[in-house]
Amino acid sequence: MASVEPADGGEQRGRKKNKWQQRKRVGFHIDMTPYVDVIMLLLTFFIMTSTLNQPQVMQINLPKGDEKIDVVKVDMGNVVFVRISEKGNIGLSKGKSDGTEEQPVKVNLEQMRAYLESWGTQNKDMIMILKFHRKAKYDMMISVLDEINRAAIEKRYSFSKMEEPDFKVLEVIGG
Amino acid sequence: MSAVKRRRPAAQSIDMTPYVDVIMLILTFFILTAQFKAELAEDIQVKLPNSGNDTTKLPERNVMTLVINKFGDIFADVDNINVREDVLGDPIGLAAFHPDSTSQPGWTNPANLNDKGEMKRPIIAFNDREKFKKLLIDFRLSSKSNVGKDLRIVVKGDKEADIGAVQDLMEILKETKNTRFSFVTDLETDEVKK
Repeated sequence: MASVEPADGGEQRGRKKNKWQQRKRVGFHIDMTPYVDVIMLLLTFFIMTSTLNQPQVMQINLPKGDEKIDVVKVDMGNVVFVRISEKGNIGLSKGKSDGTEEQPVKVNLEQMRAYLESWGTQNKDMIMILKFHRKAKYDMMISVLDEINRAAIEKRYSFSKMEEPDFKVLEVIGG
Repeated sequence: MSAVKRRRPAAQSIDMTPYVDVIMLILTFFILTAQFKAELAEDIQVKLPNSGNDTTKLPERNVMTLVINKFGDIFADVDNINVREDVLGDPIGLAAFHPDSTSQPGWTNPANLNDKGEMKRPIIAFNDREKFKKLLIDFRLSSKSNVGKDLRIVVKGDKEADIGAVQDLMEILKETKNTRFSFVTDLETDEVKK
């Protein structure tokens, strides 16, 4: 396959020249073509099969869809509402023990994490209730979940439907 | 002259045959062991959202992929060709369902699905929610596979998809007792992060 040929057509040269070549043994030439062919094959193969950035997955565990278990009484004082409006605004509000909730604060993603971290360290039983507007973008939902996952708190959250009262709450922070 | 010629190959030739043989073996090894990503619903283009915290990689086998495109269509697919044939009646079929009755499904126009505007896989539309739920159960319980409860569910949603579609899908998953699933995301890079 790979033949080794004299560098400068030694056969045509005289005997004297060949002797010189034998002594130095540097002037021969390896045919690199098959080598390059194989490397190219490998290269092509890996380029075709590799993915530049392997997707990751975010694990979600929903509660079992059993309606009887679903109704769990929680102390409203432990609840934090995270509401995402149609425009992508985030409204954070803390529940109070008497069943009402505080005025929502409009936050961005970074601030949301800071708030949740400070509340979560104060109250170890904090439960987050996530309410997303149906027309908000999925990207927003992943960003919110990602921030919650990154925050150094207990990851207790549940998804909840957004209803009429929630829209009113969101109006306070500009919808 | 001829004496010189006979000696020279012994001294100088580097025989590349074994080297190439080994390379070929390695190549063969990689070709045989490569797990080709089941080209799950590759026909449908989605822009994945970014997240920075997820370290779990996408599982390679026994996956049911649910793709949500930006029109809110849900495409269901499994990586087992026998199951697809068993459940959908077409080994390369792709099940589609549009949960939101107020808007039009996007797959009716092939240009919405990918840049080329051509689908390699036939779309089998499910218009009924109950039938779609049954399909998800059948994918798991098909007699053509013994994966059963090890079937992993991944949800590949487009960034631009409405959360409503995702919520509907989550409802369906909950109702079909598929309470463990994963969202597929891209690794967040610093320049993406706001």
